[in-house]
Amino acid sequence: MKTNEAAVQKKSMKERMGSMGNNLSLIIAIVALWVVLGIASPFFSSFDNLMNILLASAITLIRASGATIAMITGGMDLSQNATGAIAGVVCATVSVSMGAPVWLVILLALGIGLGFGAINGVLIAYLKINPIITTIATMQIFRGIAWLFTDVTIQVADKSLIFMGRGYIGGVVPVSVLIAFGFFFLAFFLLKYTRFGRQVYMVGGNETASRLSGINSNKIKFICYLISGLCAGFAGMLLSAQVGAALPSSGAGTEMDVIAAIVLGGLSLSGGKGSMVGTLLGILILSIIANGLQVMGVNQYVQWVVTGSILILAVLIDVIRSGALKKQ
Amino acid sequence: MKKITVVVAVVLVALFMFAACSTPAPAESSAPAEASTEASTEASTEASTEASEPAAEASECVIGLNAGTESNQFHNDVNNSIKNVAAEKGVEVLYAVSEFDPQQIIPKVESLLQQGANVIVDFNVNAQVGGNIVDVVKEKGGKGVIGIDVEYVSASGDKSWFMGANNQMAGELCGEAIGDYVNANKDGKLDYLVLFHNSENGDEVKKRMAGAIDGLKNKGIEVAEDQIEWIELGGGGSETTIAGRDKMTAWLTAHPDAHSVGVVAVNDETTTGALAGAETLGREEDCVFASHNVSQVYIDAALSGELYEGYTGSVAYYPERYGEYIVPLAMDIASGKNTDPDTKITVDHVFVSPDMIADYAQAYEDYKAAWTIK
Repeated sequence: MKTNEAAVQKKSMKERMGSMGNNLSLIIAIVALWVVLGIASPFFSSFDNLMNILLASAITLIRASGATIAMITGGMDLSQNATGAIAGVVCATVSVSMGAPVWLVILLALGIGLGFGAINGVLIAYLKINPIITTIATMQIFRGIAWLFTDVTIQVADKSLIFMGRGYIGGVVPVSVLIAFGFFFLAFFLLKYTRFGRQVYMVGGNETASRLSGINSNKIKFICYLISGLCAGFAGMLLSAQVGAALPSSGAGTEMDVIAAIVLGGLSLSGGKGSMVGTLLGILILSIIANGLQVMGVNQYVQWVVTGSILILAVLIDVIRSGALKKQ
Repeated sequence: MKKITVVVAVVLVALFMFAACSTPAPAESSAPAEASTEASTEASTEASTEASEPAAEASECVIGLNAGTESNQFHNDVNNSIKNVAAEKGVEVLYAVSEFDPQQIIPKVESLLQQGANVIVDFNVNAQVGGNIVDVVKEKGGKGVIGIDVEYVSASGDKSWFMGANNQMAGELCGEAIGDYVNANKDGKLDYLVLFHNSENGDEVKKRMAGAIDGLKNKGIEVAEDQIEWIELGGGGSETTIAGRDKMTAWLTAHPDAHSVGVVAVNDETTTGALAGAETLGREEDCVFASHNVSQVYIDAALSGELYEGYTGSVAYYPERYGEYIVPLAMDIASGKNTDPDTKITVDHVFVSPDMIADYAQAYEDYKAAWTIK
């Protein structure tokens, strides 16, 4: 098995070079966007606005930390926002009506995420149901459960939770940004420096081969969805703290935001390829565009057109660079 | 065997979570036979004091309630209000939900008519499809259509009856509250008026925000065109909190010199997000907020006593009392007493400031406690 892992590592050298090139393109794109938007609006380039961008990216980064791992296995998790909605409303209720301490609320959010992630994991890894179909279905189920739990918006009043959501360390760095980077570095470390991470890439690259080399691919996939659910649960709770309210409809209709950022970051939808750095850069690009257009006062619908077009352009460039068009 | 065990385990986990999380689901339908005739809704408006109609008149009316959704508090209150008042008056209600989906609206209406409904009450707030509802009801021999919060006009010029919000009045109340605050705390000087809206809701709902300009004028504050900022939320659903937060943050960042900003948003959820955005930047004191709906999130925040004082309040729409207006109107339409769709019925709105919230919340709870259908 070690030999196989070594082979994967060797093979991935070439891919790593490609990944570096992809990341470099994204960094250049970020710099270019920063310059253009900075010229267009004098307020865009301020430090405060940089913090706004990072704050708006924090929730997506936490979700994406889990989703990237699941997607490298060739999977997909569209139920993250619905899981987060349940975690948000349950945690807010427990916090408001029972006065639960913040550590208990965090544990609850993580537990809810793990529980719903486990359902996805079992359905996808062990019962072999297609990940897209599974998570579309569980997205509906989880959203329904959130609505059954409450049809009202619940205020988040706990000061510790609010500090976690929109407080600043030293009046400069938002707490939720630090938390998001904590999740990012954990996922980065898991994927890059652990045996589990290598196994994730192997399962995504060629599941049959990985199984033949002794990897329990079902178990790896199951764990990936547990992680994805865990991130979703925590992100849902933190989002409620950020905006000061928990809604059963939280995140509805924005399920593709995380996927879009991850794909923009160079992850292959067929699995086996992708990185947390790419994901981070993808998130930053989309957040910079959204924030820049908002600061300039551009109409929301124009923002959608611009964001969608950039996503298509990015994927198209990736297709051209990978030579897929020539192969056909 | 292994797979079966796994399937059973998944089902058990799901059931466990479901049981842990769920509260009773709202009632699916409300035929009068199911409802207790002892229902005693408080007769607190003029409409309800005209309650006792002859039984014969009630039997002429079968309401087909085509709800928009069961997924938010406001709509559930309206739906349940109609069912409860109808049960009290012995009027049958047939029920469908079209999920605001234009493709579902007409088939659902046809199905309701087929089951025997003769007055359609629609709450999908879709002016484009609504005209067709009026035509379909006429073709199938129905007596009329009541549009909630929207007026429907068919291609041939036939109209629906209107019952719902007085959006201009609601907007003016917001403007007046902001005006009072600005006069008391900011020397009557307003730099900007920021209005959060959803285009999908249409021009009628837009008046909830635009009316604030007249409200401010009533308080002696003139707002020039270039001081008014319309911000599109980009989605008519109830999930506008995040959009409100992001857009408020971006707008304040782009206007660092604005220190007296009136903010009116389409609902409390958006306002909560906008306030969170201002607080994130430490600039809430630059803003004065007024909102709509008196949703639970506003009630809780106001009751907590820690709501930012510049959140002046929220306009009440009393969705729990819509039935008191709609059911008698439906009975009049069915019996032929009311043949003029131009007789519009609108709610008398009240601006509920934080110091009024305890009384409002109690009255709301007391009123709903009397419902037999929940």
